[in-house]
Amino acid sequence: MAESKAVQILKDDLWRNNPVTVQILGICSTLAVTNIFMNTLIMGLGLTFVTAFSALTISLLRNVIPQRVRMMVQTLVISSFVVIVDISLKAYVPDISKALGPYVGLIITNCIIMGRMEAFASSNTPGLAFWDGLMSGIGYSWVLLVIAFVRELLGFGTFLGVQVMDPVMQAMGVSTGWVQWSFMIMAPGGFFMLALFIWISNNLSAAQSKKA
Amino acid sequence: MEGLSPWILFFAAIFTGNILLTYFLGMCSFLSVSKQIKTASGLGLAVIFVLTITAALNWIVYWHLLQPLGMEYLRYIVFIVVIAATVQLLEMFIERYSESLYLNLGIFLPLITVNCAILGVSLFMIIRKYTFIQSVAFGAGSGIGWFLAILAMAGIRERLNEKKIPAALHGPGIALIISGIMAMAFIGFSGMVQIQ
Amino acid sequence: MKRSLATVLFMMGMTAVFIAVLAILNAATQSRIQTNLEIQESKSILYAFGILPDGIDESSLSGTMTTSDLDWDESTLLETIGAELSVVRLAVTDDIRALLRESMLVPGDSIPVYLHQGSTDSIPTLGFYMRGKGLWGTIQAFIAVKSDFSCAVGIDFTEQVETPGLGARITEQEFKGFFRHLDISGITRSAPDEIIMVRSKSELNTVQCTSELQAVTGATQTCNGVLNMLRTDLKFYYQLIQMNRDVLKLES
Repeated sequence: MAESKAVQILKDDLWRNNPVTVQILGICSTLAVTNIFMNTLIMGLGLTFVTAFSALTISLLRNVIPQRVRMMVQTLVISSFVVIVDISLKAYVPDISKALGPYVGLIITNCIIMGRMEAFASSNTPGLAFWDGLMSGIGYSWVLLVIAFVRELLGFGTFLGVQVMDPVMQAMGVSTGWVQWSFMIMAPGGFFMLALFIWISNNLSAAQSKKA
Repeated sequence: MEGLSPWILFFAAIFTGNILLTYFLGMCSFLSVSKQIKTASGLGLAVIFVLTITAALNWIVYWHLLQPLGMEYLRYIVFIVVIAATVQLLEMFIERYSESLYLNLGIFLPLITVNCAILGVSLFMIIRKYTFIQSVAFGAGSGIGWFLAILAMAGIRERLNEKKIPAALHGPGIALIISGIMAMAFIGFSGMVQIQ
Repeated sequence: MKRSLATVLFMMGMTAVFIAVLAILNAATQSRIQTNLEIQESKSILYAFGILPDGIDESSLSGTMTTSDLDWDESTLLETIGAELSVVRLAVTDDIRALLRESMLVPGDSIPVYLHQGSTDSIPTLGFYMRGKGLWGTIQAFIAVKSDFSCAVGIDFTEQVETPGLGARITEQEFKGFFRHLDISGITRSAPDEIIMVRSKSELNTVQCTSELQAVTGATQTCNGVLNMLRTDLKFYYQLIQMNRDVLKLES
């Protein structure tokens, strides 16, 4: 039975053509934001929101945008939504906006959003475009959350700010507790974790296609 | 920021404060276009051009338009639109004069617009309050730094092509590991030259 | 020709629409954002002076807490500031300006200094702003010191754009705790380098003053920036306050 377009998009964006592990987009933010799980969560939500609504807007306008300025219009729409998110957070939930503040520029320049606009939203109906934007955002977010989980756990010993590794070490009889892996908090840790993730996911999809 | 020679800024932006290996901006195209030296150098030159021009333009727009009008909150939008316009012009130019480069770069030519390094340089020069000459030196230096980094990466990857790598690590996997090692090396440079 | 004109007009029209949307949003939220910033600023200033919300004990704060985690009631906050602190603006004369050359402070004709009397038998505490260079941008801090510059009383970082998880950890309780009794008397002996940063300290500065701060691992640039900011700006403020002891009603 042929898959419906919506289900196809879901499977593609979340796994088969995942923006981070397959298309290799959105890397800058992957490295920067994944040393803390909470920041990654907020970043993921912000990006998903911006991608979905930008896709919707571009799709609604797709028949009136002149070809020569399509990139400029896309960047205009994307950055406007990001600034809207930034201002709204600053006004109503300033604590959360503090976590997102340094990354605002990284959402605007996130290749995933631009990539989806070019590849999908500019040539599809608004409903599907919104769905694709949503799924791409989620595809990005779940990969980052896995990496962030490991980086925060090994780098700080915490999960969502709560100390986890230290009590575990103490329980195991290591009196000095957990020694932080600073390497995981700094950028090279992000590089290696992402490489590991891609390695594992490539092996899994190779095994899947062998079975099929 | 007075007293800081544009030349020091220029060389610091290339080596000790390399926009890619120290600040980790501009990664997407760095990982994807570094498979061949030829394509990598084409993209690198394009980035140098865009960085220098947009640093100059954005400086003028921010200090002589946005700031006097009290509309600094629009800087993200205005900067990125200036960058998009510059890249659009560059795209038209390359399409006309080098068909092969245009085809080789593919989606990554328009994606220069969202290269975080370019927006990052514009934002940095505002935060650090550089003068016009300093900004241009910083933009050009950052571009050259990015170019050298992607060239180095392409060189390493071309040599690794002949070696045995696990199948699942081919492409982005090994590129990330190489980048990680290069990044670790560049941590040694940090703080050597004060550029703010 | 006509198509190019249409394209340019379209672009200008779209830009105008989006800028209008953002301008409206900005205008609508400006006062709220301003209020939020003032509340945050007030929390930081009170924290630096060691004044915490009622019922909260410093030792109960976890190492990763930042000032925004402190539970202040908005009206109590304003009351407390009014009751405990007073502000004096000190004139920045030309001879004192020479000291600002190495600093990142750019004051106008005058610079504010906050005063907290505390209990009547202890010497007053002074508070002021400092600015320094971090890794990604400027760091602004508010520090409170004993008026004889023997010890720091506390610090908070009001502006910083450092790496979250690394440099940005200077805003956490664990780092700021080292400033609670930091020995800064080296400033009075023209030896600012006596304040040093070490890799590990066995205990926080609790009762006894020491001049050591523990750096944040992996955030060398940020911590060096903080240290340089301390040394430069404390030197400046020490001179400024010595010149104005009568204005501040301090004993000589």
